[in-house]
Amino acid sequence: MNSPDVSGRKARLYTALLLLAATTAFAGETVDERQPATARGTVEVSNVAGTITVRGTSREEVHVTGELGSKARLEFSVEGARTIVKVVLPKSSNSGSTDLDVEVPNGSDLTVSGVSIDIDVTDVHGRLDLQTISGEVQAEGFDRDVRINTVSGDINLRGNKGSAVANIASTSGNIEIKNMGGDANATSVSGDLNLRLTSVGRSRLRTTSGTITLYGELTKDARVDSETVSGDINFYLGGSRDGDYEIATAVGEISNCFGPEPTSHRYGPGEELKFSQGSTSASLRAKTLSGDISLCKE
Amino acid sequence: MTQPTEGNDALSRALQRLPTDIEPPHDLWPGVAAAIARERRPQRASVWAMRIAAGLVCVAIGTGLGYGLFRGPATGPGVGPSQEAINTWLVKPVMMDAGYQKARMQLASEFFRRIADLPANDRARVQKGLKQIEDGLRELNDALKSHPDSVLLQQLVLGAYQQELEYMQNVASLTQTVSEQTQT
Repeated sequence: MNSPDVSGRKARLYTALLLLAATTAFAGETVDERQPATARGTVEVSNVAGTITVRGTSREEVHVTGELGSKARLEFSVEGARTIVKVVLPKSSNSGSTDLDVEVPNGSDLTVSGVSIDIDVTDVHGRLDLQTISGEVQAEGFDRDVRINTVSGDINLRGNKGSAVANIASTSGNIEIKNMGGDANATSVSGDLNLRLTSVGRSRLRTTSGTITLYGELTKDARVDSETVSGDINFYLGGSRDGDYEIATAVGEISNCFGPEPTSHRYGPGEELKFSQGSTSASLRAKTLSGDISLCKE
Repeated sequence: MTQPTEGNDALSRALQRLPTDIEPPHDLWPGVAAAIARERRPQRASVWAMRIAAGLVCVAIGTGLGYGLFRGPATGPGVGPSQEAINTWLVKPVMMDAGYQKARMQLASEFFRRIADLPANDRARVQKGLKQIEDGLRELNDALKSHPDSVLLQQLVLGAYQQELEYMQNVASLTQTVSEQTQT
């Protein structure tokens, strides 16, 4: 056990090291700062208004450039494997848009958050957690799990063809996911969901009025559940298309480019289509109140 | 903190308990069929009501726990709106028990308290999103009144109520996270 003297010296040393590692820049200044960071650490970036552009590099450092808005200041600190880049505005101040470019080690886990910011992330291969109230979100070249949450603004994701898990939510923005395999869960109230996946695993897709469109090949144990109130649902499936299909509309129509024809409900409007093909355990379910549903070859 | 997917798991479990099909009635002559329907419908609707309510209580509790609503009083800025004000936004729940309604009201109260701090434009967008969900629920409930035995409509109603809960939780969680990470 350390004596109080040794513990006290250690505490003072850690405090001094922390202060050395933390820098602050002030309103209106041009920022160009860098700090060493671990290859697979966590980087947290936040900003109130403006843009955040993050790019993964092979260097073990975090490099921040940009220009601070009026009244804004930048806090940039490293605590072990955790790097924090934070644009701070005085309380009750919404003025001062700041545009930041941040380079991070490409194996980093990345968290970005803001109120009115556009987020653009390229070549960051760790986990991504991107949240903005209003603003567009783009991420390209990711390999691992992605979580994106926005109220308004479109979301565009383009993966590396690898298997990932994407959990995406928007209120009114459109969501587009391309070049990704694995599990894609997406929900929007009025925005459209457009997914072009290399393979489709477990996927839960839901809108109130937006259209759902999914291109991809079902994996052997795929489970796709999609649901809208008034939006249309369109599937364009590649590969063998083996699986159990269960599709129903309460009012709308169903069209099928392969397999059997839909049947009308015996009591009430709407149509349903249930069939199986092949011997995999894949399943695809789609339900809507008043939208139409189509099932076609890719 | 519990992940939001627990609400999805609760829904999945609830859905697994639901029948995937209902036997169509036999082709009896219309008078007999109508008499049987009169006797059977309330019973079936009641069974469905209980199943939906049970499923949604699971979802509501799962969603609420995910957000930490049941761990103690909420903290943070803003004052929650009155129950009357919330009721002007939300569709009156049908077939739901007190447990579900309580969880829904708590979540709605937190939702409105959180969005009160948003910039006016964003708050309007969030409110518009909620209104669209409520319009969808209203549409579904109306369809269900016309076809109370429809399994599809029951499932869609269940899904729409779940979406409402997830939406409120998601927005409240988003605004809280952003507020915490961008504040001085």
